[in-house]
Amino acid sequence: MKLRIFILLLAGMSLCSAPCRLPAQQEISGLQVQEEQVASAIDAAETARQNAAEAGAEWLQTNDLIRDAREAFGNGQWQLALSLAQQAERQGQLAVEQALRESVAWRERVVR
Amino acid sequence: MNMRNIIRLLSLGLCLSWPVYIFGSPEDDRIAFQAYFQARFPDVPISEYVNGIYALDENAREQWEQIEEFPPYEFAVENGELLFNRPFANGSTYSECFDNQGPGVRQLYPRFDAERGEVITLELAINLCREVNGESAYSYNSDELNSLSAYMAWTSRGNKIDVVIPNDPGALAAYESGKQFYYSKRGQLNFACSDCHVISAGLYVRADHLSASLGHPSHFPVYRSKFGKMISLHSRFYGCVRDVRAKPFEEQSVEYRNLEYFLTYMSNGLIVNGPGARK
Repeated sequence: MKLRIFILLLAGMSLCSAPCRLPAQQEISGLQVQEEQVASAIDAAETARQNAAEAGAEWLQTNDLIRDAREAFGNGQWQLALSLAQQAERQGQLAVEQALRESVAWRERVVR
Repeated sequence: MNMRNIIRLLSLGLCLSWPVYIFGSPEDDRIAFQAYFQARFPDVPISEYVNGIYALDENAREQWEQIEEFPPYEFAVENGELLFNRPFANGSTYSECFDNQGPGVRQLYPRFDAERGEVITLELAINLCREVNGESAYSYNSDELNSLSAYMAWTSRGNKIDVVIPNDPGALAAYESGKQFYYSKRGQLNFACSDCHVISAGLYVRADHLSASLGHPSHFPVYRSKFGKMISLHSRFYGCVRDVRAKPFEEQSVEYRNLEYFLTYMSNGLIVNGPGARK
């Protein structure tokens, strides 16, 4: 009886594992397409951060986002890495816009 | 051309094309700055602003006055006195680096050094004194440096802040740079120093009232109960910049020294009452 249960259990596991494994393989295949996209997004984020830093206007978390993106990329979490890199790039762009805007706008706030 | 230069050129171009009336002299700025707070809080004597938020918040003032009965910065003052009078290895002392042999010269800092072409704060002057005498510079958030600064503030108590902006293009540029920093929004929260400490002075930020910028530099360094130690004015700048989610500059960076130059000039005529105690 115990042997039958064990055989049935093994059969069930093998039936289940086949469809479970298939999407994972497809995802891996899909991520291979995205690899360059993620690497490029991280490079773009770093460029945006450097532009903000040169303007003396870098935001607090931009560098951390890039670090986390790199870590996620290294761990194979490419969707997460892409999302973090895109957030960091946007922060860098907004910081530069802010610096450009404030190079004029600050004068309006001077107490006179 | 890097981004910083693009912004500088843009700023310069706009300066040249801007109406003259916005270019008040530093003294015009100071008079307007002090008049703003007098008009905003007519019941608060101008001399009270050296007490920071305790000029505006009665409840907090009561607690602070009790703390001042046993000042938590006393140890720093005592340690600073020992350090100030201890000769360097070459036999010289700090007193040889300061006007009137120090130590009561807090009110003269920051000052513009024309030879170096930069603003020298008291903390930087202490470290320059050490280096000129063959000693290594202290870290800017070290207990030693904060103690020396506390002792020099203590011995300057009651002296009127007298920061000078000489008629030197470098000095005026440093002042303008500090002024621009003060009024520029930064960080993810898009706040300028003036948003909190001019427009919103006296209002709540979460559970605390915001202090007025007038008098801010008069009482540093301060003992922060929150950290259980003395902190410098630049450490406070660092915290504020971080709090608006901008990447902070290092203590004694050019940015913060210029900011201190502007901010302290705004408090000219008030007295030094450091070191202080804050929550």
